[in-house]
Amino acid sequence: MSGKKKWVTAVLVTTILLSALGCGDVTLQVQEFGTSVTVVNMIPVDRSDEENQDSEPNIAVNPANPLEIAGSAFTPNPMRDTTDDDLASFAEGVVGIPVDDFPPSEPGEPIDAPIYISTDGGLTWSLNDVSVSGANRTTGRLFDITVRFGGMSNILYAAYLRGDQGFGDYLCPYPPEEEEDLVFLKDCSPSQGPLYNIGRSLDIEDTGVMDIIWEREFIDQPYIQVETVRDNYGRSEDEDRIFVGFNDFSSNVFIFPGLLDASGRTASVDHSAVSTTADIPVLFKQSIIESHSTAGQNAPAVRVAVHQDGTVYGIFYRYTSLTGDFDPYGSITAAVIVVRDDEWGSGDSPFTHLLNPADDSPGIVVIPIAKIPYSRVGLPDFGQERLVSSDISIAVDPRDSDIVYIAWADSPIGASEIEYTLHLRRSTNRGETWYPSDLLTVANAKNPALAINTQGKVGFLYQSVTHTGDTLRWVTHFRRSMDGLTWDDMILADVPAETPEWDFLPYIGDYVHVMAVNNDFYGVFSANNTPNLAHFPQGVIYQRFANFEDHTLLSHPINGREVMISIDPFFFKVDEFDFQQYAPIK
Amino acid sequence: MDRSGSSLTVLNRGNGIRFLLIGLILVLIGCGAPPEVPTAMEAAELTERIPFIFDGTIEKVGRATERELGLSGRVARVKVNRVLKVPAALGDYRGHTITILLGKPYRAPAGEQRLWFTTGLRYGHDLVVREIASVIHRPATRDFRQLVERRIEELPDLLLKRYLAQADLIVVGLVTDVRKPQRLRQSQTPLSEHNPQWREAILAVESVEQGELDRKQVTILFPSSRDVMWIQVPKLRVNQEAVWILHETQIPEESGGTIFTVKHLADVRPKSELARIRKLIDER
Repeated sequence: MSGKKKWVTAVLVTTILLSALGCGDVTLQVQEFGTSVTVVNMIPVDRSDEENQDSEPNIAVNPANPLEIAGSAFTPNPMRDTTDDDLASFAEGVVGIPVDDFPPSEPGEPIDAPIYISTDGGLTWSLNDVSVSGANRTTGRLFDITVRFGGMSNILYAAYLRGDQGFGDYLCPYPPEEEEDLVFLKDCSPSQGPLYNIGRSLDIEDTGVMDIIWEREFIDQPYIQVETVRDNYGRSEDEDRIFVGFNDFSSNVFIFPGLLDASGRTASVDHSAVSTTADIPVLFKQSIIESHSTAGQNAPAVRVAVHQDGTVYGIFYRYTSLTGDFDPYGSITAAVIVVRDDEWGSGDSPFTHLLNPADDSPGIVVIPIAKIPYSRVGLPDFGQERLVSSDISIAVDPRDSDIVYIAWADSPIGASEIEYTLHLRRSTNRGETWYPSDLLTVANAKNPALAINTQGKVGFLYQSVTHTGDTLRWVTHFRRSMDGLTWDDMILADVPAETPEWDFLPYIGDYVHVMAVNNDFYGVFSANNTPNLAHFPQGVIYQRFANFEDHTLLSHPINGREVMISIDPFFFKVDEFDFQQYAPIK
Repeated sequence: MDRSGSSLTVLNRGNGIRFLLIGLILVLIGCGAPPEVPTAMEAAELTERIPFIFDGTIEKVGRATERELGLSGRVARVKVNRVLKVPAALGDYRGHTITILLGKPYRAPAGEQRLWFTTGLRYGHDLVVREIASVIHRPATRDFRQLVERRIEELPDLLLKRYLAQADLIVVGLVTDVRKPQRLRQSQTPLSEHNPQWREAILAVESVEQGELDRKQVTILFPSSRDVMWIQVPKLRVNQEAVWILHETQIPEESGGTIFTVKHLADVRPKSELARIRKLIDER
């Protein structure tokens, strides 16, 4: 890099850093009075030469100390990732190769997968202060990982699918005596299959592996939410109330005919009250939150929103018909269902407090018929991304648990092609009735994520595919509204969608996350990491070495090699000024 | 200099019981006993299991700084002189100064050279690794260090030989067809983004290198899914020619009883490696 380029880069990075820190006269682009936005590429300086597809990100902000933030993505353990270069080296017998666990001859000690940690409110990040056990032995990755802090406990939790199960677990037809129904998913019995764990770390600055506090087999897409109950209604200690939405394949009729629930009710929530101080065994209770028979199963995505008053909402798709062989394409007809529990899920029949007036069964049918396209392969016209019916979200107003917002995706009825569309709706009476039309409708978009701050302002994060001339772009939006009717539109990233070429799926992720702590919104998304300020209208901070003048990434600022463009996780924070705090005294 | 006077410093916090035992033995050696060096067996264990091994010079030893917040114990700032073993994904740290969380709180002078055995700990402003063991550059440890270097040079063949021994069938052949499984029906439900999407490849066998095969054609089952859960498994394609390391998997008797699979990218070797593979098979 020339001296001029270095100078320009240094000034640029310094300016952005100063802006983010609020130093001097420079401030990051301000959307409106009282709002500032910070966008940060989460790849640490030390990983400047990484070229991974770090997709499907998630974050957790510690409500008790918002400077502490944890993040996750499909980011491999750098000590475990076996690349093509490694394979070539292995083949050639070159010294300096990654011989650990290659070839994968035998199971050994668990491998850790890294978690992103920031202790300065998201301005800088490191990998691996806290790590999670159970990564794939070759790729160093976990699957479907989400992270969340306790409400006030300072404890970090993670829910995830382990990656270190044996290949054979996925290759056992069942049941052998019924050849017509042979299934190659996994596996031989309800006691085996993809294993999900809930991990716990008491201190994110204490380097080490999370304790595993819970496990369950044969499930998909665990998604965690946690809230702390102070004093536990007069008892001596606080409790973290943990809720994990997931799809329970162990009760799926297609896998175990006649053994378990033949109605295909797979939408489930694991929930528990966990002591924040005592080290006692944790037991989770599973609640199947689907009350009706389905076309074999619910969708993988089951999301939960928790309110401090004990109200817990859940949202999921009820599959009512499946068309096609789903290899790789198919089409689903589904209903969008919302359930509610008013007592932390602690009663005898959790998540049954919201009844469908048509039949008094638990669960309100918000949308009776939604057409959901399905593609296991990346779609060129949809920014290389796949569609696996994971685009659903829910948020409850922290001021009033009667107010709840939902978002989901479907295709217009009668559409001849894949037209993926996001919808946003609201209920103001605890989910009993819903605003009859969309508050927002967004075409060609996915990854909806909702949050509501303590002012009642709604934040709606999503990613849409747009055509600019002959090229496709992934545009990441964050929209806000005080009344659900008038929305602003903040573009966080506007990046090429056709580069880099996908390495695996999901390309940018089957979901993203946004949450509110007090007035402020915190979120995360994955996107093309080309260092180009035109791609980030709110500005951006890169920790990894980047030249914003010629839009290149570098392994090192001095004599470093050029690093290929890849998919990175981007953290963002939207600071909201609390006007009420300064309201005139009447 | 190591406070104990030993040439060797080994972990007090390792990656498992195996390292722990080695560590305990070597720490005991280091406590009051004359300087000793680890055995060949220990060298083999360390070189095989530890991912990042390098020669480095200590620049400073002290408490963790604020930047290294959360690291309890002493750390060393060490310049990496020569890398003996490293995951490619970690990158090239030659000439860089990194931080090592020491296995025990020993003192060491600036300028001291050691052979470091480390694992990853933190990747932030700079690299922080955890010391599993280290060996001071001294005449008494020269044989050990040479043993480690030799062992690392031998490691690729050693591991491949071990891997080949586990294979049920090793053949040279050409993929003539890739299709949905014929003998085994596949349900698409439950619908999951992680479904493997099994395919079978028909392989025309040119030669059998290990195992027994009474036909000139073999069927290989593999997951065609591009989901992140399956990226470590090879995706076979028509006209692909290779040395195939195959693993037998049980399926229902009605469907044939067994079928061959590939599990890992390492199962598909370029044909140019055939001589090496034959040599390793013969050496067993």
